[in-house]
Amino acid sequence: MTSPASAASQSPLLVFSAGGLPFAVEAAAIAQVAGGDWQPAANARLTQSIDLAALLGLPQGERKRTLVLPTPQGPCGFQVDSISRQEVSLKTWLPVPSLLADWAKPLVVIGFVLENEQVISVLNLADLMAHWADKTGRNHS
Amino acid sequence: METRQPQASPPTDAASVSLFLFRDGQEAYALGSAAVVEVITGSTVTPVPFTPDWMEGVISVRGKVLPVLDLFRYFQLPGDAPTQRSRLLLLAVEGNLFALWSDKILGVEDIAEAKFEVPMDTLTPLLRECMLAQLRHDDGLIFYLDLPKLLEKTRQQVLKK
Amino acid sequence: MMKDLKLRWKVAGTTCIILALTVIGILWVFAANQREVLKAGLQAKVSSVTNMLCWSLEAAVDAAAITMQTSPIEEVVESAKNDKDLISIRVEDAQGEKLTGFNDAELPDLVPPRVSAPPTIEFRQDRLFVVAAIAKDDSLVGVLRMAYSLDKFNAEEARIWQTGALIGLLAFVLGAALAFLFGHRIARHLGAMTSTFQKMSEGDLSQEPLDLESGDEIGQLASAFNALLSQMRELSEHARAISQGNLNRPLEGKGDLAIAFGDMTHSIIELTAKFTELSELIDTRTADILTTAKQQESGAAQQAATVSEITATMEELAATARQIANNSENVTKAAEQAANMVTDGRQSLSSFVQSMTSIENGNRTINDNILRLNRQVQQIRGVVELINDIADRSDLLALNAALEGTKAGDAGKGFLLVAAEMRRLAENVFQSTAEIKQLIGEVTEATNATVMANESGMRATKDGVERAGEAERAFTLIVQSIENTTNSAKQISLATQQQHTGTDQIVAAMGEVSGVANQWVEGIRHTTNSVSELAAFTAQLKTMVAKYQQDAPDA
Repeated sequence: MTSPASAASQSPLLVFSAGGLPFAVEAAAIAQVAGGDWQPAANARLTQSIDLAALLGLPQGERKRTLVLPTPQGPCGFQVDSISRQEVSLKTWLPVPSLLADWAKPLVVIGFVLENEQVISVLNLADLMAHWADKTGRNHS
Repeated sequence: METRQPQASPPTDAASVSLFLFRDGQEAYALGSAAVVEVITGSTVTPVPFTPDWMEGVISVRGKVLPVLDLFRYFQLPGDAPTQRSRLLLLAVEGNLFALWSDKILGVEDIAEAKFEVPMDTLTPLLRECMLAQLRHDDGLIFYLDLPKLLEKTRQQVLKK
Repeated sequence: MMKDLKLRWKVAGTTCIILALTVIGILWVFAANQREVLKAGLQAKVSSVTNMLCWSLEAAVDAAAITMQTSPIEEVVESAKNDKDLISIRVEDAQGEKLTGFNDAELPDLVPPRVSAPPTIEFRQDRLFVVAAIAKDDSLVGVLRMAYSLDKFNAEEARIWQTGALIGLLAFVLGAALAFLFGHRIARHLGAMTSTFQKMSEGDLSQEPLDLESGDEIGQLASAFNALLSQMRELSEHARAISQGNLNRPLEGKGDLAIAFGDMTHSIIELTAKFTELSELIDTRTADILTTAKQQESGAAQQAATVSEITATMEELAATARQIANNSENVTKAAEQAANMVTDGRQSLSSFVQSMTSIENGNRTINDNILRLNRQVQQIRGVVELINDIADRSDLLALNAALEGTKAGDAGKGFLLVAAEMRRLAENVFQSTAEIKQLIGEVTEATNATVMANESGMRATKDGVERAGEAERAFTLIVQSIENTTNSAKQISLATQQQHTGTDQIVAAMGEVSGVANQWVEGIRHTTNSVSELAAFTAQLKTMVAKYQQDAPDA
């Protein structure tokens, strides 16, 4: 798990929308952005493309893009609606307050960025992946 | 934007406490006025994944991100959810910053401890546990909240899940 | 009142006379009796004196004979002089020689009685004279003559007469008063009875019974009178009850009159029973007659109604027939007009069919063109999709290039700029293709609408041509029908004229029937009225008899 920076940290982020809400991920964590119909290679052990909106309990969106996450078991895809036109940019991170860290289980947010007075959660896709694996009973370890 | 400085000076009367009184929906609450940092007009609350329903989301105030706690949902109060919420109370409790919704700020009053009553049995156990006392006031019954206890309870609830 | 007085005075007068006579008689007898008593007393007194004198004279005679001394006679005379009533006394010897005497000058020379006979006593004026014979050994030795005063006796007698007169007066007055009172009482009761009798004789029985408690003949008479009054009243009540219809009233009383009343009541009961029976019979008969008459009446009325209905119907029929005749003439005219119009219609129809055919051909050409256009639009849509796909891929490429650029650090910054520009281009393409897609959509919609409109137009022209054919056939049929109609109408016109004549005859006949029926109805109604009156009369009779009958015993 990438520990949230206690002070404001800077890192390139990819801003996207899923289920009608804006989210961000660290650009470095993404191997590739693919189309909505992305499927892992036939020889991959994890042959799943995950609907991010459904996993977060949000309403279904267009799912026109897939964020491909490199894992030791092979690439794993997260279907999202669209990639923001702001695209990859350097944002000022805000750390997760400790009280929120106590309240959010599992904690998949590693920080927040502000854009036009709007707070955007920065997700840790690896933690999300692990949570999905727990939830669906798949163990990738 | 309404701003309040934390009350540092001790109350003039040894047997009275300075309380911040506000209303949220049908209920009125009291807090130790020292805990209230600031009152702001409402702003957009962004939901955070995998949080309880009473954790409404986060707001940003001058470069800081604060979680917003919904008392109505937390205490599972009866009746319709409040619809007139227009103020956010920014609270600092044991170094934690968070926000509560309010319909109306009733003001800050020095209230004699003699007026404190034991919470009624008819209240929900969770609400009674998070209360220091109940008060009779012109605006009706007021729940005097024990904020540290409230935060402790929230943490326990999340862990229990 | 005068009668009363008369009766009273009669009784009183009679009583008074009787009393007066009785008192006088009693007084007279009493006075006579008193004189006899006095006479007897005097006789006894004289006899005693005589005996003493006789005895004294005997002795004196003897002595005289011896000595002739007169002393014993003198002694007797002297003792006799003690009686104050004795006025005179004289003793004579057998030869009538005076032996001794006292105040004897006026003594009458009465003949002395015989020896041993009682002394003779004689009343003269206010004196009583006595002559007695003095005997010894049945030989006369002397005569004694005496005179007594009658003053005392006369005074006694006067006193008796006075007392008697007083008593008689008292008895007279008392007797007259009592007689008057009794007479008055009797007269009063008799007067009351008389007035009651008079009222009774005038038929007034509402008298109070006489109130007489006495047990005498008048009381008995009054109670007998009261019994008569109550009997009369009872009969009167009974008669009234009968008159009011109460035949059940028990009759109290006995006697011929009560029996006669009872017999009369029974006769009335029997009579009412017979009356009732008779009136029931009449009632039943009249009801029957009435029912029959009413049935006849309603039947006749129905018949009359039916006749008038038939008449009305026939008149309607006649009217209808006239109308039909008129209508059929109109039909004939209309049919001729229609025949002309149909000829015009047929000509118009053939030109319409020609027009429709040319429209159909035009539509077919349009349809072909639209289909071609549609195919071309679909081809354009494919091309646009292709362009969109390429732009999408370009966007992805740019994104991933940017990702790579971030990983390459500063060296990748140029990449980032190019990638951003590429993404903008791709975005422009997305916008354009979206607009084209929209346009294609609109064109497709328009062509589809046109195709549909054209197809419906083609269907309409086809239908029009078909309908025109049908219309032509119909026109032919219509022409035939019009000819048939004209013929039929003419025939109907003839038939209705004949029918008209027939119905007129029927109407006339029905008028006659109706007249007869009405007369019949009138006759039945007359009968019904009479019978109704009879029924009403019988009902009245029944009511009257029922008044008695409901009270009659259930004999």
